Amino acid sequence: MGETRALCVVMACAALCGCATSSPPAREVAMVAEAFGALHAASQPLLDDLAVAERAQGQTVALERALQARAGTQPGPCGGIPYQGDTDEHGNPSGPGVIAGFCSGDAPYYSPISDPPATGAFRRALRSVGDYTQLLVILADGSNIDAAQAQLHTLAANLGSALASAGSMTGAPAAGVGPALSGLVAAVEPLTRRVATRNNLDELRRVVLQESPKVETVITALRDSAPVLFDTVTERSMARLSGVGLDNAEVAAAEIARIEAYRATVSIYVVLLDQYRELLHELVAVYHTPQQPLTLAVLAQRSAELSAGADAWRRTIANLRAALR
Amino acid sequence: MYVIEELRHELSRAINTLRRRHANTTDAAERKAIRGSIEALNRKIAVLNQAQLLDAAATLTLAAQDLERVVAAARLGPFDGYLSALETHIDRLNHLSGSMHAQESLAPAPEDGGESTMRLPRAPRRLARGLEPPRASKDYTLLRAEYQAYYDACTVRPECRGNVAYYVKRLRNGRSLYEAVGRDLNGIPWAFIGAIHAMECGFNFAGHLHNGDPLIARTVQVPKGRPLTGTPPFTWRESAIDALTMKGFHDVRDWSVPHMLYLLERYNGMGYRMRRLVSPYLWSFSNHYSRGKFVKDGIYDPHAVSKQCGVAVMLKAVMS
Repeated sequence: MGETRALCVVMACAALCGCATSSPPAREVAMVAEAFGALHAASQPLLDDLAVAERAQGQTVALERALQARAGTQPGPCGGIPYQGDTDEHGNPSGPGVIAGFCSGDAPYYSPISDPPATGAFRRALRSVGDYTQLLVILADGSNIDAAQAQLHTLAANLGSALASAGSMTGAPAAGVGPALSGLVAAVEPLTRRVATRNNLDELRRVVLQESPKVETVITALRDSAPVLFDTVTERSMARLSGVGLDNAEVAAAEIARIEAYRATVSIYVVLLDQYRELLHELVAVYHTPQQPLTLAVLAQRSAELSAGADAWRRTIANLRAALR
Repeated sequence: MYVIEELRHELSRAINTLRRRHANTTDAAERKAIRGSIEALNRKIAVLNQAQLLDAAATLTLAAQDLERVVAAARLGPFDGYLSALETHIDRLNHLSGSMHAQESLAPAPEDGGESTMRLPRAPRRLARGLEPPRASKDYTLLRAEYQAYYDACTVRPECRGNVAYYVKRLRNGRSLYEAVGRDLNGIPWAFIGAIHAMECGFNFAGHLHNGDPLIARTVQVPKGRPLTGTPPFTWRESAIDALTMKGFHDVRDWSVPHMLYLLERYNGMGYRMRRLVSPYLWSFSNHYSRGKFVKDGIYDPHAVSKQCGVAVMLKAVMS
C-alpha cells in the first residue's frame, strides 16, 4: 500500500519536471503538508496519553510537597500546605489522608478540562509547525489570492457607491458613472492575479529559504523532549513495576509490556519528526536546484515514507490502547 | 537539566538495588520496608521528572513562539500596498461625497426674523388632499396629528426614486454603527440617527455628526469646540454620542413617528413652520415639497430647491 502510494507520488512528480519555473512548487508543498497532516494526526493519541500521565505526575508531586510540608514549610508558592493523615516511617501515607489546602498552581493537574502545561507546550509546538506548513500551502496554491480578489470586488463595489453618490450630488448623468467605473475595474482586474502570484512566489521562497531554520529548531526541541516524554508516559508503569510488581509477576509483565509499547511509540514519533525534517530539507533543495528530477523523486520518496511511518505508528498506538483495556 | 537527569538516574539505580535486595530476602518486615522505600523514591522521581518536563516545555514554547511570529509576519496580502492604496482612493471619494453633501445640506431655519431674497410666497404650494399648511406652533401636542397625516400621505416624487433608494442603501450600510450608538443612549432608533447623519454630513463617517467637520479635531463650525471632553482624533461613535446627548435625545422616551419628525424638524429649526411652509428638511423629494429653502442662516430663497432627501421621506422608505 505504502509502496504503491510512493510510486504514484514519484510518477506525479516526474510528470511535473518539465513545468515552467515561474509557478510556485505547489505540488511539493502539498506533499509536505500531507506528510505533516499524517504526523500531526498520529501524534494526538500520544499527547493525549501524555496529558493523562502529566496530570497523574502533577498530583504525585503535590502529594510529595504536602508530605514534606508536614515537617515544616517548603519553598515554593504552596509549600506551606501540609498533608493531613498518618504516614509510615518512610513518609508514605499509611491510611486515609488528604492535602489540607488548595494550591492554585496545581489546578492544571487536577482539572480535566484542558491540557496540563507541558502537554499544552507539545501541542503548541506541533501546531506552530502545522501553521507554518499551512502558510506554505496558502502561498503555493494561491488561496489567499482568491480571498484578496473577493476583497477587491467589495472595494470596487464601494467605489461604485461613492462615484454614484458623487454623481447624484453634482448632477452628473448616472450613465457616465457606470462606464467610468467599469473601465477602472477592467483596468485593475487582469493585473491583480499576476501581481499576486508573483508576490506569493517571492514570499514562499523567502519563507522556505529564510524561515525554515526556525521550523528546524521546533522539530529539534520536540525531538530532544522525547526522553522526558517517554519518562512521563511510563512513570506510572515504572512505579507499579517497582512497587506492586515486586510481588506480582503478572502485574510486572503487564507493566513491562506497556513500557516497551511506549518505547516503540515514542521511537516512531522521533523517526517521524526526523523524516519531516528531512522533507523540509528537500523542499529547500527544490528551491536551490529547481526542476531536478532527482530532487523531486527524493522528495516524493520521503513524503511516502513519512506517510507509511505515520500509518505504522497509528497501528502501534492502537495496539497499545487495546492492551491497556 | 543534566544534574536533574543524573539525580533521576541515581534514584533509579537505588531502586534497582532495593529490588535486588527484595528478591533475595525472605524477611517479611524487610520486604515491607523496601516497598515503602521504593514508593517514597518513586515520588522523588516524579518530582524530578516534572522539573525536566517543564524545562522541556519552556524550550518548546520559546521555539514555537519564534515560529508563530514567522507565520504572523508572513505577507499573506498578495497585493501588498495595492489594496490599501485603493482603499485610500475610496476613503477620499467618500470624503468628497461627504463634502458635496455638506455643501447641499440645509441651512438652519430660524424661527423668528429672517430675510428673504424675494418676497415670501403668499400661500404654500398645493398640498395633498385633506392636508392643511403646517401649523405655526411649536407645541407637540398640537402638531402630533399633523405629522402623522403628512407622513401617511407622503409619497416619493417619481423623479427622485433613485436618489431615495441611494439614501436608504447608505442608511442600511451604516445600520450597525447607528444601532451601537443608539444602544449606548437609551435606545435611540438607528434610523433616526442615520437620518441626522445623512442630513448633517452626507453619511461621512470621517466627520462629526454635529456638522460634518473632520474628526481629527474638535468642531470649528457651529456648534464650535465639540466634543468638549476627550482628545482628538475622535471616533465617529464618540462624536455621535456627544452630538445626540447635546441635543438631549438620550432622554427621549417617545420614539413614535410623529415625535421623531417633531424632533428632527426642531433639529433644523422651526422657521419654515412659523411661516406656515413645508420644511424640506422633512419632506424634500416627496409630494409635499417642490421648492423654497433657507440658503444661509436667516436667508430664505423661495426658488431654491433642496437637493437632499427629507428625513421623513428617508424614514418612511427605510421603515416600510
